[in-house]
Amino acid sequence: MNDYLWGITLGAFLVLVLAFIGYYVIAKKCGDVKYDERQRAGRGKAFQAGFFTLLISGAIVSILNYMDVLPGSDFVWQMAALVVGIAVFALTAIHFDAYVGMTDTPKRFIIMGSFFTAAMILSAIGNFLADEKDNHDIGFINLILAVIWMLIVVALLIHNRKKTEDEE
Amino acid sequence: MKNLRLKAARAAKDLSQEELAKRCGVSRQTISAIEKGDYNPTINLCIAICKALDKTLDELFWQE
Repeated sequence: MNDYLWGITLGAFLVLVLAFIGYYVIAKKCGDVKYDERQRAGRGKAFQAGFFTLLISGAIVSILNYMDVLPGSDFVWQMAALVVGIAVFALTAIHFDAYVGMTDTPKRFIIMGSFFTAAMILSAIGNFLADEKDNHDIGFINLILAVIWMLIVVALLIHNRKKTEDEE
Repeated sequence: MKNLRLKAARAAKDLSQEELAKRCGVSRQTISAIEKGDYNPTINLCIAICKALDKTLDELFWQE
């Protein structure tokens, strides 16, 4: 195993440990996230939309890769297809008012999303300034993630505004 | 189709959408969607709403 694979393996392990700890800290602080029946139905539609988008975008990228017409790294395009599927799930869930749980507030997601957008943009700049080609690929992925997070934050802000106007 | 009977029954009990939602264990937006006719609730939720408002299913949800 070379240094690169060791780096990826340790990085993935670290992310898993942090996600595990983060999940328990959030779960302890906020309690279980609950969705009512209307939201669960909305999440079902969102999962469906995200899943089929993932399948279709993955298939399109694979075909274009096979035809060798995509510029840049294959890895970036595969990641883009994956992220598009996740984004479609998130945006559809927001549209159906099923992204944020009953007991949760959109404010937390908006703050978290803004933080991730900024972090991804900074990371992309850092990667683009590096000399290595691999860093440029990761920079593109950072940019895609930044755009997706920004879309989610904007969608949440618009949805939240509509919800406030909809008050009795 | 708007459910004006539900809105009227809620108003008669002097309950806000938020209060009725809490009693039924759903979000305020769900009650709002039912009143506006944007969402068809399950029978379980219909029963919970009827119990919270002291009404029967017929009185709130039956359409002639």
